[in-house]
Amino acid sequence: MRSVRINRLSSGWAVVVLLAVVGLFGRLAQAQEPAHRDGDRPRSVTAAEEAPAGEELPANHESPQIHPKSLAFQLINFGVLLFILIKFGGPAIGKALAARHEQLKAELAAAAEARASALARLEQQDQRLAALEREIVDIRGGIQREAEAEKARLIALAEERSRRIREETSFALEQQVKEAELRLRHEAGLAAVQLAEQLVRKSLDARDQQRLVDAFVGDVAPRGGN
Amino acid sequence: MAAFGGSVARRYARALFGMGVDGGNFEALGREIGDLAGLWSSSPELRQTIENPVFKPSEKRAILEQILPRVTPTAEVQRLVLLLLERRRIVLLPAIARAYRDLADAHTGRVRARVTSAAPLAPDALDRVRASLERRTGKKVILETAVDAELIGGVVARVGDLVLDGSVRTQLDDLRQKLLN
Repeated sequence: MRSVRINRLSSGWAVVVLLAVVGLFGRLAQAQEPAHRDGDRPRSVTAAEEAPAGEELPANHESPQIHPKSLAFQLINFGVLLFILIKFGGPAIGKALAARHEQLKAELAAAAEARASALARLEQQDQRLAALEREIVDIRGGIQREAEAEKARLIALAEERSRRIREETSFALEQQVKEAELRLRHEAGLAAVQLAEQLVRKSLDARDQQRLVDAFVGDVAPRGGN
Repeated sequence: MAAFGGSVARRYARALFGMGVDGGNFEALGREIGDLAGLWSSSPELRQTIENPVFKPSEKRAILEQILPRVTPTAEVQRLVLLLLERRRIVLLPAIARAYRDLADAHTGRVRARVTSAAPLAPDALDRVRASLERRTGKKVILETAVDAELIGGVVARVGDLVLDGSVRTQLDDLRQKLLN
């Protein structure tokens, strides 16, 4: 790419030089022309100047003539120009055109390659799009399966927790019932004993005391032998 | 201090008991030392007078010499009391009486039983209790009675380390424990 640019620059300089040479020849040609203009043209110019303003030129007005000498100079000039152009600008232009050609070929090849690549990517994308549907379905199925599994796991976990809470609650209730039973039995026992004591105190008389002494004597005596 | 006092009291008691055994009057000596101990315990005036440092020992001795012949006619007991006064151990008199009683009981094969009842027991009831305890222990039993209304009814007898409980209070306590357990 850099070499192509350099070729273009050198070609440009060559064209400039050619133009300068052509210009030089052109000046030389013009320098020889005034003599002819001064002899030929003044007449027509004078005629035109002499014609009043707004009047048309007469029908016999002469058309410009071709001077062979001038033509020859111009042809030579053109030939020189052509030669210079071909001699000096040709290779550069050819080289530039070749470079441009190569560049265009490379760009075309790159474009073709890019197109092929794009087509391949397009095809790949098409295939991927086609596979994407299946993938989406698979993903959706996978997600659904995972969701089902998670749901089942959560349900099992909740059931396990619920069972444990029920067991703990049941155990706590049993304990509370036992404690309540014990407390009730304790209070009932105390109340019963207090009531019994009150009744005994009220109802115990000398005869009962006598019976109690007899019972004591009966319980103590056997050990000693009867 | 109490253990030291008990040991000292037992030494005095053993000495007096030995004289009583030798003289054949240990039972009488026991009764007299017991009576003196009872008098000492039940008479604050006597205790305050004898223990008061204001009075001279000779004055205290004179007071006891006036009292002792009325309470105890035995010379051994009188001398023991005066000796205790002289050695400032008169306060050991009740402990000496108890130790003497234990020695006499052991010597004669007697045991003492403390019988507690909710109400005072009739003499025949006490006799039956004593007889039952004597059969139980195989020894002659001397009863000491006490009244505790908290027993509600029945009798509790303590013979040495043996406790025979026939009280209503204990039966109610057992009933309460059974109900609670």
